[in-house]
Amino acid sequence: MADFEPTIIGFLCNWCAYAGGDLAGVSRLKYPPNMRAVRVMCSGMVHPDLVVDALKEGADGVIVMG
Amino acid sequence: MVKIAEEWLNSCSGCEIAILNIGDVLVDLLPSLEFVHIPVLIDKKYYGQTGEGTELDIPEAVVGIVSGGVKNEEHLEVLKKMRERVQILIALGTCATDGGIPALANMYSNDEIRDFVYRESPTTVDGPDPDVKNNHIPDMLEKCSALDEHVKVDLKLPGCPPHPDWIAAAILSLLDEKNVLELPEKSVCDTCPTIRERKKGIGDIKRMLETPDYDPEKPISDMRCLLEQGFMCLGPVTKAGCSGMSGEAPRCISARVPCRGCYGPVRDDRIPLVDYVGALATVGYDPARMPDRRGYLCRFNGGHGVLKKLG
Amino acid sequence: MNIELHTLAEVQNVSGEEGNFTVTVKKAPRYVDMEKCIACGECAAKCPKKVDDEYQAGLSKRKAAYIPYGQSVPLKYALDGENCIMIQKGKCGACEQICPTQAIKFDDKEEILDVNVGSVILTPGFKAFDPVDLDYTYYKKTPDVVTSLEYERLLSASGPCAGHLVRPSDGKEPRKIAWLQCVGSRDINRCGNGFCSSVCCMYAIKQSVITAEHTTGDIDQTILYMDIRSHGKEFDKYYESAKKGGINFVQARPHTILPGPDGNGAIIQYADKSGNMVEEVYDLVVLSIGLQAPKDAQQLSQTVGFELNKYGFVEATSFEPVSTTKAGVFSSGAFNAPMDIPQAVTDASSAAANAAVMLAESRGSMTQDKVWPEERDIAGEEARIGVFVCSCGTNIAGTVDVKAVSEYASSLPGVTLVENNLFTCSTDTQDLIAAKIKENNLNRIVVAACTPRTHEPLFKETLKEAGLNEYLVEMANIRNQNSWVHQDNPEKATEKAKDQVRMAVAKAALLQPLSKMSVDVTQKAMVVGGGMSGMTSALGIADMGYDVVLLEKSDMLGGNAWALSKTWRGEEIKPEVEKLVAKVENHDKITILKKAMLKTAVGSVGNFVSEVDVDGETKAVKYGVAVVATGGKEYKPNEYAYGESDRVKTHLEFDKMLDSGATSSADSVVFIQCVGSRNEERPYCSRVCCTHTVESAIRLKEQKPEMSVFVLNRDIRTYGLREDLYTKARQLGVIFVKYTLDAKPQVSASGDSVSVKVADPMLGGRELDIKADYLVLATAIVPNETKELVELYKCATGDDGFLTEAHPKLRPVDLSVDGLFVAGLCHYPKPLDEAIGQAQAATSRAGVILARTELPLDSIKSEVTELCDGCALCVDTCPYNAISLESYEDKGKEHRRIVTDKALCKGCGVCMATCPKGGVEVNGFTMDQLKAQVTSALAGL
Repeated sequence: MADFEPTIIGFLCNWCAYAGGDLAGVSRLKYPPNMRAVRVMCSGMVHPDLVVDALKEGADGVIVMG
Repeated sequence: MVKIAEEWLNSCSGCEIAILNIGDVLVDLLPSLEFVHIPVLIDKKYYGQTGEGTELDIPEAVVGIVSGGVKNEEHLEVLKKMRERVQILIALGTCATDGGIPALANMYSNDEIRDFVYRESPTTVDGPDPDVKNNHIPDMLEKCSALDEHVKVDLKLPGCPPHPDWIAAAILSLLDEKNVLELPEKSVCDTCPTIRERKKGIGDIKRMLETPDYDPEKPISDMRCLLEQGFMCLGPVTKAGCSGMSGEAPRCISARVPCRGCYGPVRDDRIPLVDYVGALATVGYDPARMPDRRGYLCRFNGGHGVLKKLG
Repeated sequence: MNIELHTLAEVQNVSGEEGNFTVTVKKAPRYVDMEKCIACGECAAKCPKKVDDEYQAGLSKRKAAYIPYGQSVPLKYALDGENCIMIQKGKCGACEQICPTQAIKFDDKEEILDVNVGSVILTPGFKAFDPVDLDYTYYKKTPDVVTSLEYERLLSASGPCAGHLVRPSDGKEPRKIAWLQCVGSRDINRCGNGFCSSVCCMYAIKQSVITAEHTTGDIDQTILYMDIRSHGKEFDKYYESAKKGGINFVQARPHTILPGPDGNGAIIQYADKSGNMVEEVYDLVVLSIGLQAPKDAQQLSQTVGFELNKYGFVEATSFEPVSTTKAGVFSSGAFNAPMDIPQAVTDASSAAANAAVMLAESRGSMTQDKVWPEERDIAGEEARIGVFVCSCGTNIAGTVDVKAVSEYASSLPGVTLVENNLFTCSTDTQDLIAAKIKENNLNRIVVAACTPRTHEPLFKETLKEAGLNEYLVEMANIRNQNSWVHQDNPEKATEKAKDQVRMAVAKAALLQPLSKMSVDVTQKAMVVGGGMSGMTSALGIADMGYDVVLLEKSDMLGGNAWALSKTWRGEEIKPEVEKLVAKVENHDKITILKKAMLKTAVGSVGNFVSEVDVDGETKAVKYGVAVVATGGKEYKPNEYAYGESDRVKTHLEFDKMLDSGATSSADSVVFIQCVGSRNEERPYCSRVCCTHTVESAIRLKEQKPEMSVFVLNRDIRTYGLREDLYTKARQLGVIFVKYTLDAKPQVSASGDSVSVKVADPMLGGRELDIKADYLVLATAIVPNETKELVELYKCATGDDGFLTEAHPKLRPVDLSVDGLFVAGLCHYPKPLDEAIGQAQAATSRAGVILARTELPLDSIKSEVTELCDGCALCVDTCPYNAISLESYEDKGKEHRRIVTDKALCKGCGVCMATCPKGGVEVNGFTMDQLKAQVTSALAGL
């Protein structure tokens, strides 16, 4: 497990989590590069199908942030 | 004269009865059709009349109709032969299109199934598994599947059983290309006339055995949506068509019971379980509290890898 | 486009008069060219000079090249001239060398400019009290005594310890923390700040609650207070939940703080409620410092020419709460008095309304609009995607291999052209993109650069310039969410950038042009309720030049104000009501409908239609916005012998007696506070009763100094400058006795007197038995019934029946339904000046919509697809009530489907996530587009 590098799909709400992601950049915080962000207009927009599809297509994790 | 071959695999013969139920129209059609193979009606020896053949055989036909899903080696062999012998293959009934009721077995391993059937069932006297090798019994496959998991299917007519209207319309469209076959693409709700007021606050889910609130003297259109009454009506995620081409209210709803989903998922590539649970969660119901939700919500579509043994 | 921003600016002079001021502004040099700065932060990284970081309350350092904080607007760096080595000593210049856009201007000069304006609004804010001179606090003399502002930073995720709370002395997590309230507030002995700072009780409670969230295990937290003033909306519930959550509230004003053992922590000494001396050691002590007038208030008042009160805040009246004594000059926020965020935001809108009314004639004369070329129709075209990869100087290119990303992008399906730019956002690159679009017939654009949140509007404009629909651009955020956070891993960062570009291309290929949407606006307002709030709003909107229909349910305008005599400032109320009623009744833009009730309401922002029942007759009204000001009323209690004895009165009943002088025969009067408020049934504070009681008590004492006046209270909440009244009452000899909810006063009435028994904690719990001539009950304010209205408009009320605003802090006068605004008591109990302020704010908010003939809407909206079959699952889930069910006929059969109201829809997509069959999608974020991004993100696996 030590060298396990998960691929994570992140659904980020434009108004909070995505903005937080931007701010993390402005603040030069560091975090691992494993997440691929999909910007959504609200975390409530994320259909369960999208989550299931992501997992089916090989994502190791899905994070919905909003 | 169009030659037709019909086969039944993991099937109950309900679909075949539906063909007969086409009724008058079938009588009109019969002169244009030739059933070259239909084991439910006409006896058929797959290896020649005396068993002289070495290979399973089915006569050639233009149209092949197959009901039932695939659960054992024989089903698979017959299906492959059908595909070989016919030009157009129709999957008839939800077992053939989506796995159907038998695909509920996919929640268990074959060993568990045998344990239950031959030993654990309360009405069974303990006994050994059948001797598959020495008794020419086809061995079970790992899972129960829909036809298109094994061969190319040209047309799907779901339903448990399919409404005769659609079978007739499909045959008519094959006889004359002017008859365009338009199968329903929307959900059961599209033809459901019940009153829809408010889905939020369903509260506790009611069991199917409970009676919904309605006035038997009044038409279906005066009854409140059964989902809104707390019944797990699968209408929103199930393909329409159960009431045939008349556009009448869905059949179960007409009988004042919720839709069970027998026409399969409204979207081919989607799982009603996911869609339905997601939708219910947003109207405030906690789907985790639903007993046997996998079995309930995937009762008719356990094929395509939808149901599998967990853990 | 219509706001001109001058930073580093100072007002030097204001000349002229209302409608025509000339403001002389001195702009200090920034030493950074704002046009060129791309906020990459390289200058700050290279700058060798470290300075105390003001934003972090001096707890950490910043550089001389800096931005104050990450969210700065405009997001442009500046050089701190006083600390920059180059500017001070002529040596260094490191920033100039590293700056990728040559934005550093060491020769930047101070600028003096004249700005011609019609009106001036002052919002200089407040100055936090500096406790360094309060020697009893040991502040700055021992490390673990910090101010609340410093603590705020210690607690913040963006603070110096990234939200992992540690104390300054030894860097350990404190386990026992105390807050001292009223440091620099309610204190005339040590600092001359007699006022209450209004916000400190709540922020102390908030800090304690957040501390519990940020630390592990049990943590001992104590708030040492005089009165807990949680008088804001929903605040008392927060206070109660903090108490339940284990925060200790101790009523005491400590007189001594001493350094703790070994210089860690601090010792607090105080007398508890019963007078016993207590000494406690805490790991950390937080001083809840107050809010004072800004330090240059005096100078500003002289420059501009308006008056300040004795504390240095703006002198104003209750009827014009944001007007300074100089015509045309308005003020808002903490410069008026200490106040919390919702109050300050309301105040700001109120000031805007006053300016807007004044400038109504010239409205729109200076606004700018832009004209765009005609849009090219791309229907039926294959995707021809242009990808522009930004290096952002070295910001992206320093970490991500932009060449490799560009090469990779050219291999992606649908991509016609790839360019790598040094700065994709620069003006010349914009021209280049526009040219490339035309040259190569591109129909989709991907910009791999920074964040769409700041830069998408820019690229949308570029597309519009080039004749493409603005929604055909997709951004890949390879700076903020890649190169800036993965500097230590260039290889992975490049890999991620490729994925991000691939995802953006996948989505871009599916982008469709979206049409511009707008709704026509009926430039007319409806105001529901003819009390002071309703009338103030109606008058403001009418004065801005719009027609107003004012509904009043009774046959008289004025509402509760007729029953009030004086404001807390001592101004007579009735003459002002008369004046306002006369203005409203004589205004040719205002139609007053009395005995009127709202019957129906359909439509949405810009276009509402209602039927109004006017004394039995139905009238139809069309309007674009509505202000709801349905008011509240005094709660009639059923305890404390109310109704049994005519000696027991409510406030308003007693006011009449006070006005008539009938009270002068009394020898003893008792007030009981929180009657019907702050209890289980109504767990809110009615905000005005403490001040009302104190005012009445003062009037009694002034009428007859020898009269005994008792105020039985739980906390006295004379917030802000009202505290002076409380001080005065005590000076006059009014006796304040605390009681608790589990030991409420016992009242028995007989004949001409009332007996009130209460245990006085100051006397060790001994019972007082007071014979009073009158007992006055400070009863709650309850909202008038709004159930029907709420159902008509589909807005909402909280548990207490007050209308719920769109956002409790940032949108305090907007209701959750666009185009509806709220003012006065129907929102929350409030005194007259605040109600008027809120009504003016509603005027301003309504004006924003009424000023247009059509309201542009964003095109990111839900859209019903062919697959919808009207199952109605989404109808209830829409948080904006934008979805309804309709019937239609197809081939002779009836079907149903949903319709969405574009003006109500905010594009949140909850409907899309609910729909089990793709029956509704959000434009620009369709299931296919999101799915394409997911699939493409995982395609590299």
